[in-house]
Amino acid sequence: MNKRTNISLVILTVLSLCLVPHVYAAKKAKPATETSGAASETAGGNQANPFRLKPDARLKICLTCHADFEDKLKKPFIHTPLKTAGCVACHNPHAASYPKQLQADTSAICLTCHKTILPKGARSTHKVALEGKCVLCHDPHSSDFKFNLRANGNALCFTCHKDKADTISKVKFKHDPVEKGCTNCHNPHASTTASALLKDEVPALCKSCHQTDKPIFQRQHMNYPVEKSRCTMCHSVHGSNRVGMIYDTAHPPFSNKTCYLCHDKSDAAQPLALKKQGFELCKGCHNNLVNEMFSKNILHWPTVGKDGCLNCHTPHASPQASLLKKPITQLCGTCHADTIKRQEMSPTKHPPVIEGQCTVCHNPHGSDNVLLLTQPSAIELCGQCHDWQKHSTHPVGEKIIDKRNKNLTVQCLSCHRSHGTEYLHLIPFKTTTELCTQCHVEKER
Amino acid sequence: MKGAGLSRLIILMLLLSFPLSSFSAEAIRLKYAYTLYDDEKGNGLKEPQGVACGTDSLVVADSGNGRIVLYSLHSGDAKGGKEIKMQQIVYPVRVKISSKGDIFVLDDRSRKVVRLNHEGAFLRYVELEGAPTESMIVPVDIALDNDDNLYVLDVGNGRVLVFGADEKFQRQIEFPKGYGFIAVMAVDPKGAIYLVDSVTATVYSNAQDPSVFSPISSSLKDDLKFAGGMTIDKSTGIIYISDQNSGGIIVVGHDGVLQSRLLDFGWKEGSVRYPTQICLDMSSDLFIADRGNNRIEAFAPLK
Repeated sequence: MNKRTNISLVILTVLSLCLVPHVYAAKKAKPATETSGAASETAGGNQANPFRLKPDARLKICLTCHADFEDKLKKPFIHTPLKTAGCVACHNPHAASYPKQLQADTSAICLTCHKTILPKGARSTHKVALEGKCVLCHDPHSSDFKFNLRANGNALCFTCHKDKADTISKVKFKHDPVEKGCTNCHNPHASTTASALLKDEVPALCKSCHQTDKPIFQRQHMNYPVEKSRCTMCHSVHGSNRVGMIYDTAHPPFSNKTCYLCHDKSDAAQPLALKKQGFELCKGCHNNLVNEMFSKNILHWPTVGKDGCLNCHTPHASPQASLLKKPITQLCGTCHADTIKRQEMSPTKHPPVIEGQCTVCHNPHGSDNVLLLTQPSAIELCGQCHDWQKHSTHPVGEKIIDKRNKNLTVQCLSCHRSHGTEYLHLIPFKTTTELCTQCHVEKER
Repeated sequence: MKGAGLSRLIILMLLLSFPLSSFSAEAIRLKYAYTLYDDEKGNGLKEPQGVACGTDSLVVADSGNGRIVLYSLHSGDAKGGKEIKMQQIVYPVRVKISSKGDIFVLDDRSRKVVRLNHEGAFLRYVELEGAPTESMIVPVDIALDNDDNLYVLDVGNGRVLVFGADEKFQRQIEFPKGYGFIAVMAVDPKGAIYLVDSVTATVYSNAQDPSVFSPISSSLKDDLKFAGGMTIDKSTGIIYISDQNSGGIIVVGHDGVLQSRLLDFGWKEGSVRYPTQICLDMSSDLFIADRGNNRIEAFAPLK
């Protein structure tokens, strides 16, 4: 092999490397766009008709095999590309790199035409739209409903949002716009202005129907200037069993309209100002609870933080029991995110943790026991549910010293971590052998 | 020609070694030294949450037993273990030792700071009430600087209170805006205050502007699950933070950059479970209140 041959080989290699991506890219033909249909069709074939099909052949040829599509094509709403350019608008009749011989990935093919469905800088986006799962809501071929939707109105939304469907159907007091359609308040794809796909922020959205300057509105709100407050702090917009669509759990001073117990009078200079700060305000009624809390060795610090009780509770109304701000797992997870995450990742789940029953083991206000546990003894605590293991198990109790540490006695947490570990049975070791030989070192091999 | 080749080789080696010696900070490592399990009478510690290092003493807040235990400390070696029990101290959680040897105890039950002399005799409560207040003062951590000024972390009002060595109120600094929850504090020899937000695992300091806390680190959440205590090496400015939930110590530079994560969760000596307050003695030996293991663990620096 001489020098010239070597140079030729190098040039050939470089050329090959340059050409490979182009050849691969050429394989992925772009789908026809919605605008490029019959209008751009020519006898010689072009981007809109890359297969040089005759004008009347583009649909007919496919139907010779896909006969079931004839019924689909009788529906009132046909997807425009199918109607104008035929099946090849989205499918490659010969070969494709994507399932169903689509010209692009299912998560991207719709966006080739519907480019503005997900606006840039959206404040909230419908997860299915973001993931390109358009066909969950739309039939890409034809439909009995406008926009090729798979079902009409709320029925479509309720196929996924079953909990909302359940609530809306059961509540005594219903919200008219919700009954008429979710899209009265929500954008189905994305919202550039508000969270939760809302068409506008609350209260602006609510005020588009509810006129806050009307005397009846002011009377209902005890003449307090609530027009700038967040309506959803008190009202369940999807309906509730309380008059005025107040959340099911309401704070008595609120439901009794005795706002002045916590706030200044409605005609005061600052009517919404609180009479006292933090837990001091709540102490007025919940004196026993606060006194009991302060009699404990350990306080849960948020209770005495600047916002006091309002760190966890909402003052007016809540869909949660005990006026909690959020479902308890989410609420505790606000600060203890790693604990919640640990349980989620644990292969063995501990029911009280995963079901959000944190208060079965921890007192959220205060306790004399470390980690705010509700019982001084871990054995007694765990025994609330695992009663039989108090009687039939590895020796445990005050008289059994942990061989790893003379200041510890053997109890449930000697082998388990209640919020989960990366291993089975909530144990912090990969195998039970590894766990047992922590103490039984003589058995170690 | 041979000489030129050798010179090139030396230059190349110098170039290669330059980045290593110039940019790598010396990694801090700890070597397990010993464990304190008992007081001088052999009574075991129970859920100790506080530990403080003085020039010649080590004080433990033995929370579960509702007492203070006072050890003598010489060349990193703690001896003795005198029990200090009194009605003013019911559930001690944090301790500090002044330059004169006085012991400051934060009692969680009474939410008060108790001052003892160097032998553990009660002197007085520190009158926190001298500070301006909107709501009840709820102290959750305390610190002392080189001049014995006392710093009190008050979650009731979201601020740090500063008292002079004479215990008179001097000033207050509001918690940083948008904080999650702050219950851990340390003060460097110059009096700059450091806080850790347990929710975001961000370290804040007022070193730049004494009147405002600013973040000095990004979120350290991947390595710090829930801060339990913090101390600062007086000679280097290095920050040590104990991680209660995953068991361990993280080391952060005074610039807020994470340097290393030390120790593991466990029961055996050298491991920790739910560690809380930590302190460094004059030799940079690290003492950890290993609450979950009912003991104090001592580690020597390995360099």
